Amino acid sequence: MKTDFEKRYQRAPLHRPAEKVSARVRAASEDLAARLHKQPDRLVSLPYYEELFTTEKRKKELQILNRKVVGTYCYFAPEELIYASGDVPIRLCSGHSDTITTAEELLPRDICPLVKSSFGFPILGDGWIDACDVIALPTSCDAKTKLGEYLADYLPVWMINLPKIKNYDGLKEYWLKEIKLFLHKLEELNGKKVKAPELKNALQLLKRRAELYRAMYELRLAHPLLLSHQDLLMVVQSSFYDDLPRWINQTELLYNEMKKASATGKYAAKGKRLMITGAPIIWPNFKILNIITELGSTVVADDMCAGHQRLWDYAEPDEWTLEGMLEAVAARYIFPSVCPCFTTSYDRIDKILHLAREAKVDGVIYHDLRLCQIFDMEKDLVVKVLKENQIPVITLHTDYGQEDVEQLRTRIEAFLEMIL
Amino acid sequence: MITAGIDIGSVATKAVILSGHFILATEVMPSGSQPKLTAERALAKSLQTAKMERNQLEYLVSTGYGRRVVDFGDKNITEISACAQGIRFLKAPMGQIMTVIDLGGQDIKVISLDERGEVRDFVMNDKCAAGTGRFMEVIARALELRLEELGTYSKLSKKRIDINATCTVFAESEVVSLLAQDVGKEDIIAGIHRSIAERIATMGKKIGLKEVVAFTGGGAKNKGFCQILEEELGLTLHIPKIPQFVNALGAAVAAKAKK
Amino acid sequence: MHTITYIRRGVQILSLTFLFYGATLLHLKPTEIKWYAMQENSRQATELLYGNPTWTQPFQTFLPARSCRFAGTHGTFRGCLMFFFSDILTWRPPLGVVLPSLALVVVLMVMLARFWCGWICPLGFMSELLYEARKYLGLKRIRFSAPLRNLLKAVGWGLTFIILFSAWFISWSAVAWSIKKPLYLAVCQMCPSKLITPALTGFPIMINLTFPGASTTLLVSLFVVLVASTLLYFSGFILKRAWCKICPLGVILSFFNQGAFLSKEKDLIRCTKCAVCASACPMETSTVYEEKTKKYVNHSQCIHCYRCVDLCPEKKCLTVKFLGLPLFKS
Repeated sequence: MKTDFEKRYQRAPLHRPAEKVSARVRAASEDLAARLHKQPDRLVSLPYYEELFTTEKRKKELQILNRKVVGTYCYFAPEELIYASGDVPIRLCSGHSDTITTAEELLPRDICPLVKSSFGFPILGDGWIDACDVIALPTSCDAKTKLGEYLADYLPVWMINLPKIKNYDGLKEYWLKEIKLFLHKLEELNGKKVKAPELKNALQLLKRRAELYRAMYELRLAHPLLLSHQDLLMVVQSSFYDDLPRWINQTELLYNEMKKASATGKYAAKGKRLMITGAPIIWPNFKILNIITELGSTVVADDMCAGHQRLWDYAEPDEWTLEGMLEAVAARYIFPSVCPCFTTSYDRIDKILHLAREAKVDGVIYHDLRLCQIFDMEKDLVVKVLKENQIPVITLHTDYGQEDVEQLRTRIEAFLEMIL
Repeated sequence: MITAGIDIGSVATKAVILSGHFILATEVMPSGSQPKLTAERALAKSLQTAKMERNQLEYLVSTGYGRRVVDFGDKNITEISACAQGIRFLKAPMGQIMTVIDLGGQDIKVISLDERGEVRDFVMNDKCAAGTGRFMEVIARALELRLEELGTYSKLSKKRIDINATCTVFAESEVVSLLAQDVGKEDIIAGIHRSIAERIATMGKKIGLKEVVAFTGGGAKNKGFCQILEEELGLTLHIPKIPQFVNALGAAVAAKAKK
Repeated sequence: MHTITYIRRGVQILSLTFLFYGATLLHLKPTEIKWYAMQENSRQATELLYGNPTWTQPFQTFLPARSCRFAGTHGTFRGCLMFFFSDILTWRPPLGVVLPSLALVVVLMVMLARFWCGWICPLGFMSELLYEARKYLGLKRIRFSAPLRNLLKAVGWGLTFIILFSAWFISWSAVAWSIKKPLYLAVCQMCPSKLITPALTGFPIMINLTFPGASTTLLVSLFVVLVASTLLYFSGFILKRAWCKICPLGVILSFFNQGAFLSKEKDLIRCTKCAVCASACPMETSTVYEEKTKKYVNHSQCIHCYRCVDLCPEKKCLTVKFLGLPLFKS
């Protein structure tokens, strides 16, 4: 199978299977699932999603199905093309803190916890990466750019050269070529060409998914506790792994239950309405959300790439020709993205202002992962603009570890007292 | 009405008994390994000083990192709002206090207040002890001095020494190597103080240091440090008479209102 | 989904039918041309260059769209706006005579601006049909590059200037007939509608490369322009609305796009800059996509097709308003 790394210089893949670490990883998921399970008045459709995090059922199913599995990172690996080729995308971004020490045996300590955490899994020989045939890795930040060479020790890796400047005329030409190159690699992997009807089908499925998410988002505006934000992120992030049509079916059931439950009026927001912006909060690193819940407030919106942004946008082609659809796919990943890996933060600021206005938030929490420079560097302007718009904002600089929970609690509590 | 405030910090536990506008008693003791027990003892001792019984207390508010372990209290608030309320109660002769710098055992806070004395915004250090009271403690130990002596030594400094390390552990080894170079303790201490002051100044500038600026927390007891911080910030700080008790006092004030 | 596009297609079909076949289908009575007298020489010229000048349509007025005179006796209107303006410049009729028609045209222009291009103009509609045929065949679209778009814009302005200037120029008595004759109604000489409309309505196509007393050089060069513009028109098969990018009538209407009764507004914060509007725009403008400071997003080249509004994935982000009343919302 083709890989972007020709392996002129070799490094033997590091394998450190450790049942203790794997057990801790499983326990972290199970603890969180149990914790979420105990939420009062929780909807009955939700336990379905927990299984994707706590059991290995889906992984087994993938092995039986005999479909090619493309492991992806970030928001930018084009899912439409993977589905159109008949393959399965699995997003490998992880929120486990337990695998970080494992990864630090090879990776430098001073890189972002997301990359370290995700890279712990191939070393452990555990997790979703086991089920993958190939990895598609966008160069969205420095750590991801360099991660490819490490991952190439384990699996074939396709790098996706992501542009950093949003510029309609020039960029679309360039990025479209990159998208076509990716499609070409997929076609080679599967030994067959992708035809327009297949791509159209994939686009429509993903649009259906986006529409479903949008409907849930709108329901949550008035009744945010229909899904606590932890549950919402769980639902969104289960789509990293689940079979797409099945996820859509299940989520339709969930949506119908939400609609019915909203009529009871039990699910109005408690305490302050908060919004989270910034670095992704990925299962099971929900500590900030848990603290907010414990302090009696409600998160009503977020703009994270593993949350709201993951399911919000869809490709909308002007014409359903192969070329037209590819153009739409190319545009969908770049232009509406609020990832700080692009040169300007204005689109992100607008998104935050819009969500804050629409969800009527009382305050914004800027979640900043340690050593994620791009989110850190955008912080100053984002905070300034939010304050100018009379939206209180607090920045939390943290990582995947649990040791600062008390400090975070003090900060969040003081922030809630402040916005009284 | 008689209220009490307990501030269970990472290093010291403080208790204040308040009757209307009068502070009846203050008590401080090391937090130790059993913060709940310490809190009870601090409260008991301060009640003793105030010559009062436990049942005469109408409302008790706890604050600080251990605020949630106090199960005999009526309510808990964060040290940030406690600090704001304490400073509002104490007032300053120089005019309205708009900014508070609080140097505690394990964190530094810069709190910006509005005209009514409410918290408008605040910044805190990250999960790193550099520049906190704990940091001063470590340095004092390395120099074989008591924490209280740092201020006196610092004032004697004649030569400027720059300490570059921002990490507590590395700063300690930097201090040790300076000692090996036969640099005077007073100069080292002044250097350490300057590095903390610089850190605080950066945090303060981020949020905006609107005068009058008050300086509270255990760190404010260190007069030598206060002097250096004033130089670094380029303004005169208002230091309350009982800087360490501002948070506990704030909790007691909050108790008055929340009844 | 895509309601606006469906409504627009309906309107386009109706307007094409009405403008090209209305007289026949609705049994409308033709009316006499009364409002200006032609000089004998030019009458002869018109007859030979453009067929019988005395044919008549039910409405002796003009529309700011290709309500083309070459629809012949089937057509409902006397002609298009450029034809009207050229005639005014050439004949300089008394104001009182042309006032009703002029007033109507001006009101229609000010109210709707290039809405005429997107919804009414049969030529524009047919170019979209060409484009639909390509989509059906699954062939690749070609986009104009930015420099080419600018070039076409310049060509459009040049063409408009030549048409209006020549119409005025031939009204000078000093100009020789050999030049006057071929230049009379230069707009029609260079318009692809001269070939396309008759082909649809069964009206004879008239091309005169030689004409007694006229400069053959001029006739031939005008014919070359006609061929070029027709080719451009048919390149609409792969280049969306190719001809519309230089259409002189469009150039005139584009002056009214800002401040027309119809306007497009954008909720600036709601916009995620996803660029769906930019890729959907048949005129390949990017104002709707780029604008982040002003809420009015009316590009001078916008033909008011509202494809951007139709495809915009953000609810209530784009709104079309007529005199402040919302018509369509995304």
